Amino acid sequence: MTEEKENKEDKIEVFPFIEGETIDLVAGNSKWVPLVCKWQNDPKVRHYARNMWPHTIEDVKKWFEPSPDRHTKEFVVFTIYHKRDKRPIGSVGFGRINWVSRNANIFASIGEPEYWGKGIVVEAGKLLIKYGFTELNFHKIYAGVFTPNKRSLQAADKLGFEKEAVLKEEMYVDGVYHDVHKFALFKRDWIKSNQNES
Amino acid sequence: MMPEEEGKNGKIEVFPFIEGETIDLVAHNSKWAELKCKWKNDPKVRHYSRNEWPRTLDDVKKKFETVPDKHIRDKVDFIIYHKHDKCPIGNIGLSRIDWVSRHANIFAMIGEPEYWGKGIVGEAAQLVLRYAFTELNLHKVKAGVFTPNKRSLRAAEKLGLNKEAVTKEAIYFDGEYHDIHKWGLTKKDWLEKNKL
Repeated sequence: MTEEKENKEDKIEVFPFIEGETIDLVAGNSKWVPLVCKWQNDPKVRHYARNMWPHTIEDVKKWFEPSPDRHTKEFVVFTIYHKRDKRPIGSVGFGRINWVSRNANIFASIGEPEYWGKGIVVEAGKLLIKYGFTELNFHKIYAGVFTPNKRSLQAADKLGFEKEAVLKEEMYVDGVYHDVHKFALFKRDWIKSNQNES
Repeated sequence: MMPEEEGKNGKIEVFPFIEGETIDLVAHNSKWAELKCKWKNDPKVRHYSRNEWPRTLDDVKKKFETVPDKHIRDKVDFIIYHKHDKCPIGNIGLSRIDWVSRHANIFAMIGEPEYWGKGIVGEAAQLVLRYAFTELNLHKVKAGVFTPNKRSLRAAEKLGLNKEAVTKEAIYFDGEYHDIHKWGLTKKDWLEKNKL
């Protein structure tokens, strides 16, 4: 759809799937494999994204291979594309999609730390949540955040999630056990809060 | 529950999935491949189940191969097993399951003509509807029946399905075009009809 001329990457075609203000949620592109690989391994990023394993380019390449499942996948991932700066800066999506019980886990990660703290996860989250409820027909979206990740705790709050539970000492991070806060958002509550906004 | 049933087909293990009165809905068993092949090709049966192509035993055997472990399926197929006579007599299930719109098509076939007209599809379909709404969390079940298939039209009515549409001359059958009657039932209507 949009052709990129001069930038940090070569000429690339970007395919927005859901359009936002600062960012778009776009389909993945295998040209971004090295970037995604960098994000996966970057110590600053993986500390919060909870990736304990070194990832090779080959590992990451596999994720970009076309999947045989055309419909009803178990997860759906978007690349977060910064519109003004014209570059991918992270990923967001739904995992563990349960089609019978109609719920899924929402995850997000900004791979470029210069974009942290700018409300991008909240913007991407809003777009993704609307997609989950009005296009995928979910009943419930949930999320898990471990205590030191203050930014994500704030984002969950801003997105309207309600704290459902605290799982004690659930996550081992950098030598310490941390609690995981479970959040949930129901379609009916999301509809209500959207009506209140408009 | 794994009894060794000795019936018309010799020693076999039957695994009921949903239990009924006259029949159970059971998991497929590759030992029944020949039977299924017979039903698929039997002119009397395929006339109504709309199978225009000859099926070899290999074709049928392929269907019994294990499904790679997918987290979700777009089709569910049960064998209808006659409890008293201890033999498989047909199959029933849901196809074209759309998980976002939460609807599916119900299909049924009695492969042994001696069991026609005994309310078996009705009983089996009741079990499948309950499974569709209360286990798979579907919103709507649909069915398509073509005009000459009087028994299936009656079955659809007795099941409480709502006639939704008639698509004219939609199926070519025995040298003629016939209409297809489209039926549907939402979970809400099913709950009401079953006073649940």
